[in-house]
Amino acid sequence: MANLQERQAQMMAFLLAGDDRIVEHISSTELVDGNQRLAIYSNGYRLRLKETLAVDHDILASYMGDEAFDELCNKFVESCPSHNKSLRHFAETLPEFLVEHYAQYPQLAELALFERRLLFSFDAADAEPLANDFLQKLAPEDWPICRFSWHPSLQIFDCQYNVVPIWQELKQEQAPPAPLEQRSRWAIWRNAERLTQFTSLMGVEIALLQSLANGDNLSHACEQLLNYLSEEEIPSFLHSRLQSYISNGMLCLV
Amino acid sequence: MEGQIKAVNDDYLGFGLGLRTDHFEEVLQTNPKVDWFEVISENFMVAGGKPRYYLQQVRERYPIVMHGVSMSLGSTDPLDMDYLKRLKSLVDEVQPAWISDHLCWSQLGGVNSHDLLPMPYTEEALKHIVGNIKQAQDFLGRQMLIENVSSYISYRESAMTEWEFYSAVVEEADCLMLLDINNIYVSARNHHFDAEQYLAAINPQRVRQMHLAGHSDYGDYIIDTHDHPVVDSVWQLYAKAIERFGPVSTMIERDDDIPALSELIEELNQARQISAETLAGLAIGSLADG
Ligand SMILES: [Fe+2]
Repeated sequence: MANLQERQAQMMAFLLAGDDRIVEHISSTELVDGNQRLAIYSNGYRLRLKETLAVDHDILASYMGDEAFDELCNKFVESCPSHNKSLRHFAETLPEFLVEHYAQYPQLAELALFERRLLFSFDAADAEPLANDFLQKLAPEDWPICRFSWHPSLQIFDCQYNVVPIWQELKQEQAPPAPLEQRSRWAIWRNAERLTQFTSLMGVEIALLQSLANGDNLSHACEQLLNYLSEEEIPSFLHSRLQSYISNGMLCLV
Repeated sequence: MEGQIKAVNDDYLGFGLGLRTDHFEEVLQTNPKVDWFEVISENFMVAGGKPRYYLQQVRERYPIVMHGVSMSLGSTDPLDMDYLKRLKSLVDEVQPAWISDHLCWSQLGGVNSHDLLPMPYTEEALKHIVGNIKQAQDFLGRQMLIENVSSYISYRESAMTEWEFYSAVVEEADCLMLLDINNIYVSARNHHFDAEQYLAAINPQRVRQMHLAGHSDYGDYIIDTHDHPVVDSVWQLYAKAIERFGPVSTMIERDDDIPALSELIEELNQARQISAETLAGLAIGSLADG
């Protein structure tokens, strides 16, 4: 009796690794033999995965050039089968793969990670952002105990190379700058119009945003800022930054 | 013959299109003359952002049906309950007229081929996929539509034809059929069977929806690419299907080289026309008989 599980395992082994034990179980016709028929599936399998990489990582592709990107895709497809029903997760491990296999070009992994972060923000969960006039309406006695949460799409991207300028130039179809070791940090989020945005952050802003994400109220957040700013500098810094995050749709109520 | 002329079900929706990202904004702006939209469930099983926003907006204006591509009902892996839970919560939110997936398997041992792989047509495979469809229907609390796939291989151990297998599956699992007319044509050419014989074997009471699509013809074989307009031979087969099944909700699938919405609507109008003419011909025929 035929064994369904065995046949499916043979088919999968063929798709993933070209294992040909399935071939004898496939009918041939005069016009098209079993091997040709099976090749339609293995070609389709690789094409679909490579197309996913090309769509998710179009900027990385133009940075690397067609040939090098194609080689990367082939290597990635062969060594990282998809473990998710949705193709949108297929390339999630591409940045790690680049760290491991393209260590001589460290900017590649960071560029890929930047693209993945943009993808994450695009369809992260929805939440009502704070109204633009939230701070104006906040009573002075409520300031110290007020707490915020990040919009679910908000992420901090920390990179050692100038990958964001590289991304920006390529997006405009311009020649990218040379890779440069240059640490920078960015907020990436989706605004009220559902457009993905990013902006650079200073170290002290990271401290403020982290503190808010940890659930600190504003009085505790101010204590964190004392590591970066003098006591007199804090109120105006806090007000201007919070207002900017709120207008950008980056913050929600807890 | 009356039962064959009027719709065999109360859920007749008319003529629909697949809702594709490229057309989101235009659909909302222009309210095109499309009776309903089919969405790929997986594309909207995301937390939020544009996909969910547009789905909600379109849902307020048009009936929606949900078409899944990854339930992998024929796989010997257990059904993915996490997937089913997420699907169910989308179903609860969208309230589609119906939901569908395929007569196929896609994954094994947790590895996904992202393809609709055909089943061997054996008693063992039949029993297996029927069990999974029943389990999915029980969990989702509703009947599913199961669609025939295009195939390029057939397994030597197959002991029945595709239409015998497909018919047995829907009867035993008590599910409904989403007949893909293009897939029947593609598989008929690839495996040298008679597409009309296939249609003749299908129980009209089970057919709830039809798909039409374009393919790539390589002469010796055809690949189901969904990147071209529907070809004449598939239109002819569609007319035969309408002749047999009466009015059935029909949609055109286009997944690649997606043209302007207006072009797809024109193609959809061709389906309307063929369906109307075929049904009118039948009515005249039955008058003459009477
Ligand atoms: Fe289809």
